[in-house]
Amino acid sequence: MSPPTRGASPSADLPLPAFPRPAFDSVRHPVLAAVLAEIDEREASGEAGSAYYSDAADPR
Amino acid sequence: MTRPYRHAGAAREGLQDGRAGARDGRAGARDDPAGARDGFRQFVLKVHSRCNLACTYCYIYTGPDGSWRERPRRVPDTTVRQVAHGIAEHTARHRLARIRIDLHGGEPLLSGAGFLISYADTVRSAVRKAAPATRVDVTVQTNGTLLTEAALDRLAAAGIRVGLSLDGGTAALNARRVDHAGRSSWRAVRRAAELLASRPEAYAGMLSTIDLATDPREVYRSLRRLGPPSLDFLLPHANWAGRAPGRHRPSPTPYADWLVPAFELWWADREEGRPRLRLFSEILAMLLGAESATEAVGLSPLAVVVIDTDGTIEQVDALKSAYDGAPATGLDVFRNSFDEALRHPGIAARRQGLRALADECLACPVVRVCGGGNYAHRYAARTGGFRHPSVYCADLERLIRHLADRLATELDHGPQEAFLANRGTDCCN
Repeated sequence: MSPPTRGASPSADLPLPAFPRPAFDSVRHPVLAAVLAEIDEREASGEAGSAYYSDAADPR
Repeated sequence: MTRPYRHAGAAREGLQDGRAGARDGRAGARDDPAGARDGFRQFVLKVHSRCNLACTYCYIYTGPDGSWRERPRRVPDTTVRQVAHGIAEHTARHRLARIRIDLHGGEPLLSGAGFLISYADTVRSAVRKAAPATRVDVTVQTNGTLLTEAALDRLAAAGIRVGLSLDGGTAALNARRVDHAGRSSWRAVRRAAELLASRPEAYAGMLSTIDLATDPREVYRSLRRLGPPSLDFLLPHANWAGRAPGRHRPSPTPYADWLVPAFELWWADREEGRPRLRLFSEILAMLLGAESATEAVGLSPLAVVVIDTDGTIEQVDALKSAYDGAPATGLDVFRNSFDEALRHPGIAARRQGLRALADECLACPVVRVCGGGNYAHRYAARTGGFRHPSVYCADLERLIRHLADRLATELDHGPQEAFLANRGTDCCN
């Protein structure tokens, strides 16, 4: 089986939007608010930007 | 001491990526060299090299890599002390504020809770002396079958959090997770899940490998009922050398077809106790401009190194699904430092961001979120290397675009196409 070629899907060349990041307490959606709060915490702690092992649960 | 396992594969992997050279011209404004973030931050310590289960999809014991046969069953005390010394030295040199220790296997609880605590304490003690300000987070990833209340009490008291591996919240959903006699592990694992749910301070979360034969909604709901604080859905380790399980299906994106309904349930879950779902959270975070914290997606440099039971320093286990010896570095804790491991070509290739990716990935509009997916999933036997799109390329793209659509709707941007019509097409890359 060979690696794919691009262009198979109708959206293949559609760029992703660049979303502005709202404050976590300004959004109504609870899941989105939790994600935003987590981003803030991660960036404030200096822990952003490292890729951790996917076959291990993250410590909390 | 068992001679560290060596294989030419380590050099082959490095050469494949090294020969391609730098791709700065097409890397764009956001290129993330490894040097920007020094040091390993996560040390996966193999405590026991064997497992009491024989999950049918296990890539470690039934995959192409046979190195586990040469490893001591349990890590010897001399290796524990040397590992601790190496981690402490590395942590101090790089002035790391925080490191993660993951006690892993095989099945780590085959060594007993006492040994796990002793290993963690040895590492903590060494780090405390060399780098007193460094926080050390310790987890153990287990199949749960040997987790008793007494063991959990001891682990919790020692500040070790437990991660549980299971594929759903019912016996039927865990049909592939059997012991060596083919018996279901479910009763023991359910007991472990219930124990952990009663001790949230000791519960790291659950990892669940996707099985296309299951209903994703049933998987999410049944796992949700077990009360994990965190959950992740893992793509089975596969690559272009052999079919990913289920890729014969008519749909070109069978894994995205599975993940999207699971995402929809999680996205709509407003009840207390909703778990964090790592894959979805990371994709959403990156769509909002943050950097990834998982090797599964994104461009962040890999922070993890593995130390096997004989002190061999290795790359992540997922590479064992590629070819025999793929994770090997030729290094070990007795003769080499973790800084030498940082410079190993295979590890360096995973800390180069865009520069390690295939041309097809660099030309792709979702590359900064996808990041090429899990490195192990890019392997192609015809080239012997990893500079290819993921075998899950189409699934990842579909999933990322679906999450982007949901985000656009929630942030009042409307569907992607409408948003772009308003903003023009120069908003990205």
